[in-house]
Amino acid sequence: MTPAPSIEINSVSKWYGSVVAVNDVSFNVMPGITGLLGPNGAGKTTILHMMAGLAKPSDGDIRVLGEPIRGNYKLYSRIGVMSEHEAVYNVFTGRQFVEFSAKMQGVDDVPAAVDRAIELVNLADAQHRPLGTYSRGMRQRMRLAATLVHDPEVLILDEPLNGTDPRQRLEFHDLMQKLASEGRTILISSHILEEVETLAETILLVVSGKLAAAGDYRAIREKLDDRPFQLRIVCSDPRKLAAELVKLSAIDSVAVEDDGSLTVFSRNVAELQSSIARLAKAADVRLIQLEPLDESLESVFSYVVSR
Amino acid sequence: MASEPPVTTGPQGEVFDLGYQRYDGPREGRSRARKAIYWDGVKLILGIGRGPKSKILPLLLFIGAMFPALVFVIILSVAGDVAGFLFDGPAGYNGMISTLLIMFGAIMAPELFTPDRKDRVLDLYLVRPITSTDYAMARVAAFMSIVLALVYSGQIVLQLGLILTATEPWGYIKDNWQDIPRFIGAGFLVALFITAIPMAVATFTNRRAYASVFVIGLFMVTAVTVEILTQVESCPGHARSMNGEIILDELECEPLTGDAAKYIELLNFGAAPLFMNDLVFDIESRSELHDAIPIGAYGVYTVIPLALIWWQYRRTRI
Amino acid sequence: MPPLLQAAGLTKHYGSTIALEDATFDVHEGVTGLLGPNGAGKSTAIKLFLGLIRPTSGSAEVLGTKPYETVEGRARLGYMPEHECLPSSVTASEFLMHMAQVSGLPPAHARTRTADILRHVGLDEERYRAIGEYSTGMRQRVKLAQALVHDPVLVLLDEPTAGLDPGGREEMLDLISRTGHSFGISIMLSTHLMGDIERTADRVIVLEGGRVAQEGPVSDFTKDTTTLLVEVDDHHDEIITALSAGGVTAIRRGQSLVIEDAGDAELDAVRDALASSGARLRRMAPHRGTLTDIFRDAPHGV
Repeated sequence: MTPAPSIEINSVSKWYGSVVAVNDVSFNVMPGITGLLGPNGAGKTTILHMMAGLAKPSDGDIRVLGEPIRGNYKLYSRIGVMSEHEAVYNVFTGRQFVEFSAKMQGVDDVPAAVDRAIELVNLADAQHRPLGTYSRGMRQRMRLAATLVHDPEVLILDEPLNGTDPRQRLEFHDLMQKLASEGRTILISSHILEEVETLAETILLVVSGKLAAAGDYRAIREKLDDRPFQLRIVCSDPRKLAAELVKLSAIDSVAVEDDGSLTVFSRNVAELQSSIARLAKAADVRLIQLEPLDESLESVFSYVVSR
Repeated sequence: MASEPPVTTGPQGEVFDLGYQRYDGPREGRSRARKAIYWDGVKLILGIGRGPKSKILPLLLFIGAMFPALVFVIILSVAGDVAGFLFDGPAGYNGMISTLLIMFGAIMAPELFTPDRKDRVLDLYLVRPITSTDYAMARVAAFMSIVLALVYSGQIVLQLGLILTATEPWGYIKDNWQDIPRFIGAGFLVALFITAIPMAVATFTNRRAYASVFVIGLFMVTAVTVEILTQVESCPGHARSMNGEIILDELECEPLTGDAAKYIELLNFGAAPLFMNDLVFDIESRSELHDAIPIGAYGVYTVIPLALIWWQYRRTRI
Repeated sequence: MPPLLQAAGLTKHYGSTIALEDATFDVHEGVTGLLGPNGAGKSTAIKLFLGLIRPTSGSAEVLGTKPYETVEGRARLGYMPEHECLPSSVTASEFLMHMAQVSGLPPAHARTRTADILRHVGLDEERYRAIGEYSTGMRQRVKLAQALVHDPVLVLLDEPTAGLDPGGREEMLDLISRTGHSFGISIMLSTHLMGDIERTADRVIVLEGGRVAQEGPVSDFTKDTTTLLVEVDDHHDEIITALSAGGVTAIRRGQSLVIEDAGDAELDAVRDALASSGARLRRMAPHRGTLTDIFRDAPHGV
């Protein structure tokens, strides 16, 4: 039996006067890490706000952990939300800020919970300093601690990596994986695609208020059949291999680049990938490298957005 | 750039390089920068190149500055000397438009400083080969130029009117030629004052509205307070009863603050330039003090704000 | 070829806070990335090179002169700040013409330079609309344009892709690459995003806690290793067996097979094993370093 979805979005729309920010969107978010992506103004933030219960859908309904979210205060304590911009009172110390959040959420053992949260984000040394003295990355981490302090089952994070440095991003990555392995549901919205690529198992791509793609990004790529796959092949005898490749019906075109590599366009990439080694061997050509050029999350994003 | 024109006939073809070209032209240093910032300031105030809405206020203010002069000249040509009830010709003109000038200073001065600071465009100036004070002084010069134009526009209308409506224009000029250098000098002193305080206030806040309100408030409050302290008189006297009648003797009226009143008068900022105006036009001083003191007050009210502008911009950092 | 920017023992303290400590590095022609967390000293370094602040000790030189001693040194530098810095009620065209003149160009030249630069950064009809009406991406282009209009020798970019969505980021990085490599204007790019540096920069300087932690060509950090990664959908065991029969050791890691010290013989063995198994080959490439490795391997603070 598949686990129940943590977040259910059913035919949700949101409009402000004549501006339709979200247009009849439906999807489920399962436990694990999901990425919510889209160009600026696509409606991601509106969707996140509605999921957190901060805005009411104009149409449709949203359920979190099985219950309707709007106005459901008990449910709020099982969700942690970190929005993109948040006023932080610079005179508070980091610890006070997290304590405040803990109290707001009605946590039982506040000091213990605060200790644990601050430890998770590795800021125990700086916790007694005022937030005004923190760097942007540190402030971001403390905000994350405040979001985690009440041990929520569902985490909704909007641009959590803003201003963080490479080391902090590695730590964030490890932390997210740890939390996800504990059965939590984490929804991250970010513009830094290379980070989402390594972190999220599934993605949701929103364009102009509508859900344009969902799922594993590599599977999504294969469904974009109006875009032939681009592959780069390096071998010992490019022109010879090219001549053989062109004979395959799976190949649209082969280009020989300045550096001697081949750029291959193929609509039936599965067939190409399964037969390339055999072809190379038969032609007595050494296969050195084979790499997809447009299978990354970035390529998928750009293809879906420009459809 | 190509030195020969391209061939346009025959079977030849050419493709021209539209790629990035380096700049080998002249680089004129800080003087070019100051000129650019100055003219940009002038255009900002006059609303040039910014759409019709931004031109309305400056236009109204210019009309306002010339209006009393126009009215004066019209009355003069129709009814003669009666126009004197409005104001005393060139000598009284600056007093006439003083409120308008203060309004102009309060409302328009912030335009030259606060938007650049608020939008942080100033940072883009500070990384160019100029000093921060180059920027500030060019803006101050731009504002001063406009205020001068404002002050002189009315005076010029007035002078022309007086000359042309005189029964004997040449004679009028011969008798009254001194008015011309006088209005130029007095106008300059007034314009300097109107530039200094409002621009100094605009240096210290990022909100245009606050700056404007503060300047207007400053002038109003000081004017009213000083008025109360120096003009309202208490008149202690004796009342006697004689033959059943009450006789009042010897009313001695003096201002509330007594002797200090003539110093307190100096705190009415707005009067300082008018004092200088009277000095230039050789009119009897409004102050009981020796001339040097109100001149000193004027100096303080112009030099200190300008120094503050210099100092504040000098220490501005990104 | 003397360096464009030179830091020698560059130190800047703000009271008891150490912003930069004994930093020594050179920036030459090309695109150089300045990588590091916020608070590592990147903005301080930029302000020192722009001559906006003085060092506590040591020196910063731009084209051989100290920029905090004369303002003229700034004439050949451009700066694109991270924060919003554009007026809203003027057009890009007017704004750029004005800034060109503030950089010393006479009006006629300023006009033609402006038109050229706006074309190079990809702003067309929008150039005659007020900047207030522009999208974020267009604004970033104007910010870059004002840094280029006076033909600087080097442009300092501070977090140029901040706030941009993936499409906008792609365009901006493309523009930066073009500026550095096609226009021939050197760039120092300060950012906390390794992807930005990997995609545009030739060299990288890593700052941590005010000190230079690493520096070198980006290719040093992202070069191919001799370890071969072969990613296949299926038939992993079959391929491993076939390879070991030929004396090649392969270890499975997730969906990939890892073969150390892969030379020609190993490549051919892999090809043959793939051919006989008919496995679907997703990727076959040497393991490459990434800039992330700097932070993964090195102990904190070094």
